[in-house]
Amino acid sequence: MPAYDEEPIFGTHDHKDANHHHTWTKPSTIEARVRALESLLVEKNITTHDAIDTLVAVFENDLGPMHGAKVVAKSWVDPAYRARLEADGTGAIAELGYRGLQTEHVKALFNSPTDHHIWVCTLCSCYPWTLLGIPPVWFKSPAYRAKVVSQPREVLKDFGLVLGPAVEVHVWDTSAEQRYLVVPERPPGTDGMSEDELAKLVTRDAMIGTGKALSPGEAGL
Amino acid sequence: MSRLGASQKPVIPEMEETLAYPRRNGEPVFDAPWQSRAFGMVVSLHTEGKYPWNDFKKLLIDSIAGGSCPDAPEDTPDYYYHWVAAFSRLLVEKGILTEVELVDRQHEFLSGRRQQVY
Repeated sequence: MPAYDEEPIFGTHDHKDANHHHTWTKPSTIEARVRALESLLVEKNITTHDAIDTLVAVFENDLGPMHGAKVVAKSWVDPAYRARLEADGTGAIAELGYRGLQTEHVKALFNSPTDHHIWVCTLCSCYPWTLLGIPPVWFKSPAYRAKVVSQPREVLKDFGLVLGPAVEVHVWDTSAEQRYLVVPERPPGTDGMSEDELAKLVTRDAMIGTGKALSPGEAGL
Repeated sequence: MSRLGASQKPVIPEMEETLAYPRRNGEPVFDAPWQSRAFGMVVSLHTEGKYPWNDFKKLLIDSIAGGSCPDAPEDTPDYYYHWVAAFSRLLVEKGILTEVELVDRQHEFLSGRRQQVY
């Protein structure tokens, strides 16, 4: 997701119309340098504005954890979908068009007031890329991989998540054949929100189990 | 025309440890539009075969090792400032641009003599 929503300083719209004036604001040194680079490279036919746009879009949209978030959001609003996700994770995820790569065998783990799930790859760094994008650095760290098995509550504390003694913590070890997706609990105060809005509450960490879904306030909604 | 066909999805090179792309919650973060343009240019030229990724990576490592970038405000992460520095150097080294035309063009944008990139 882009970190800016307002009109880009130079966006994808066309400026070929000579009568189309914007008020000029002096660019910073770095902005001027980047504009110099882009205008020269395009003039020399080394690249195109479109090619740059495409790469930025691919990077921003295809590698983030939003595919997994959409699965979770749908399971929150659609009880029939939730039931299918519980029975056959891979099949229910494929319904949304996410197939291939490493999502072949996905089991959805549902958090509740009494159970908290968290997964790890103790042997290497198996990770459902198609659903969650690039694995975070800590996921591959020996510290996380070793400690989450023996002291899951301590690890969760490191992530700022303190669970009451009544909550049972389940640790799952992922492998090349078996992947997991934690479905966090739906946060309170989210009645009436659309699936797209709900998906914004579902963080990567929540789907690994090292965090909870965000409140609407935390997500800036 | 873009040479990236619809069937052929561009591959974004992986960057690890000190070179890792800034991310928030797993998603890439650009704090300003110039950062995403710089990112797009470096990867675009690479995917179009203008240089091996390691050539860029090496200059990026050099730039980061050389300390903070003079243009970067003190309290901002300077990751993409280093990208721009390394990319500028790479283009000059590969003979794609000259230092002079780059600096001249930058001054045109700074002075307002040139305003449109598109």
